[in-house]
Amino acid sequence: MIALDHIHYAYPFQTCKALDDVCLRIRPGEAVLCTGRSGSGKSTLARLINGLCPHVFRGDLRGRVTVAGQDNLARRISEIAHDVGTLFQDPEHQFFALAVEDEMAFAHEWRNRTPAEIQRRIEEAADSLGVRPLFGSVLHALSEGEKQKVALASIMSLKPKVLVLDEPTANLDPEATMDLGRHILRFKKEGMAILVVDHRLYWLRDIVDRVIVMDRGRIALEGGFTMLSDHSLRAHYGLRLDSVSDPRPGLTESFLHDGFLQVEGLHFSYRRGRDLFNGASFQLPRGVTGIIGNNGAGKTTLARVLTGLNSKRAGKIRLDGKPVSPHELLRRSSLVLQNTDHQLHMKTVVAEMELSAARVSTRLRETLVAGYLRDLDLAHLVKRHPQSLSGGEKQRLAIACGLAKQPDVLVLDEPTSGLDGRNLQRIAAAIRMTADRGACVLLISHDLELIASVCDCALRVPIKTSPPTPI
Amino acid sequence: MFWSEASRRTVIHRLHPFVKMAVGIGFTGFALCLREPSALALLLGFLLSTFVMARLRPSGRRILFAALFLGAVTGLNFWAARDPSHAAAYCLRLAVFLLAIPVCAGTTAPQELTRALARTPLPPGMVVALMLVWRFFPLMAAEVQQMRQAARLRGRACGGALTRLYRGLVVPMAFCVLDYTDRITLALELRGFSPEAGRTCRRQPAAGAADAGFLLLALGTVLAAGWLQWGGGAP
Repeated sequence: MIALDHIHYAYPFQTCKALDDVCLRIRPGEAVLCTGRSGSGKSTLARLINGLCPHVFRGDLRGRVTVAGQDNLARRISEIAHDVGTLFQDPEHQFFALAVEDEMAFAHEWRNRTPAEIQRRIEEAADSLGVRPLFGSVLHALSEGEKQKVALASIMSLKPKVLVLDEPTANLDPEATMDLGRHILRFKKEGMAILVVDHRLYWLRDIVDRVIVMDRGRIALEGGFTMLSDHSLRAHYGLRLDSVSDPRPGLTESFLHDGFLQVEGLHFSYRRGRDLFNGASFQLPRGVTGIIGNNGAGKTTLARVLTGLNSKRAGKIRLDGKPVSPHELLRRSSLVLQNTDHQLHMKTVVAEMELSAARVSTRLRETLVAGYLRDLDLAHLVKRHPQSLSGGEKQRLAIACGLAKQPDVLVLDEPTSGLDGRNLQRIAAAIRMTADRGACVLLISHDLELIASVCDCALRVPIKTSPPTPI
Repeated sequence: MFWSEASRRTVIHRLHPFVKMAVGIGFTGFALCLREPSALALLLGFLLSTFVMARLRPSGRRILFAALFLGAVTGLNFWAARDPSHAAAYCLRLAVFLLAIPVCAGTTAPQELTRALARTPLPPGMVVALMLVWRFFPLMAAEVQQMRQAARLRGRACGGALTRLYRGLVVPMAFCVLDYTDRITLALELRGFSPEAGRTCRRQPAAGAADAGFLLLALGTVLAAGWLQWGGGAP
């Protein structure tokens, strides 16, 4: 179904090849996982299959890419799209309509299908993916998992022969991830050829038939999933763990530890919205606390209240036993948001870091900044404009800025989505170092590997009444 | 939105978007031609009835703000012209402007409007552009909120107010728009969009008896207002 023969590809104005002599075959009913460290050529491989390279990204292509028996170069991208469905990491950026049904109907309308046929196809796809209860909903009000399902249902309603999934689980919680895995198994049985590009490996254990590991534009390894259980191989190629047991049930509750950040009778609701916190009392110790809960439970809102970004309606917040105002909280805390693009304001990486460390004494600042840049592998990028960095580099820079502020409270919202194993370990080490310094680190993450490696305890949202903790 | 919508959809919500659009634009234009307070009051009465029927609930703060604004404009007008009728006409005309389009917009879901637009003989590229603009607003509103929060987290160390605005909002916004455009273009390509291809529409809003009734009532109001202005109804 998919055949890549001796592919050499370079993006425009790039001297080094993104892909170098790549050969790959994927048969109907076969699922292949493509993994490797960031920048190894995984996404380029996916773009060659769906036609984005070279039709949109241009560049220099040698070799032949064949999908469903037809040469991709000889077809327009709109024709390739009849055979290939692509699902991205963030479905929000591939939606065109405002409502679920309109989104699912969009591509059919542009293929000139009759309203009856469109309705039949979207209902069929919605039923098979369990999306029908979402009919009538507005897209931006859905959870990440639901959005991903709608995007997948939109693609499946077109009945493609090939499915390309580019980091599909980066924003999904573990339950939605496993659900996606079950759907992939079903698509395999229906005879689709599937390519999954992902850093997270554990969820694909019983799903993929083959694994290819990319390194510097080449297929470095090819084999069954079991080859990933070799620790030294994973370490060499910067891969994540091949199996992860859910650490969340085993984490102790935060109220069992000595409280550093204490909250009593917290009330918060958005304007005209329901109460997200209605008299919640809890305490968070020094160290790393995982904030655990489903999408929409209010984890990010809690983080905003605890860092002083959103003002609570009522309640007391104390830091190390002393009451603190939202303004004081803003000064003493760092929040690394999910979208790192918004947090980078300066002209160079080093200026960004120095601004974050503005409150640290001048004598220590230079050493501190250099240390974090080295730890997060950013030292070679100091003169670059932050917005010119890759997604993973921006993510690491935003985290480094958060750490450089030397906050008493550090909140990280999904800090490792889309990062490879090596960078995950770097970030985990930096988080641990901050916690060991005595800070209260709050981690909002669906990444089981990160939770397992850094969390000391958990705060579960919605917050249940905890045993009385005198303030 | 100017006011919050009641959770239940009313008959006004179910009207064809183009009917509401025509009434909103028509009333605004017609109010410009009227000088007689009673005629303008009639138009305003129709809009207020629509407002009540749609169960729109403006917040107390917004009602107060609108009342203060209208009061101030009327007072200034009366002070300048010393003519109570002129001041009243100004106030009523302004009230019609403030209500006409927002009442229609507040009761029309964007997806209803895009469906209606899709049925028009506009070029496909323009229809997609309009759809994306509708998608763009809620997305950008959320992004701007995040940018403002990120700028607040950075604090005053980032520079003066203008520098903070430039670095914290203008620059990230520019990159955000470029990124969004880039991604949406790729997504369009991957869905097989071709500007030359014909298109169908799965569900189109159709005008019905309620639309005809609403239009007739609106027309009746316009005629009555016209009679009050020019037909001897005025003193």
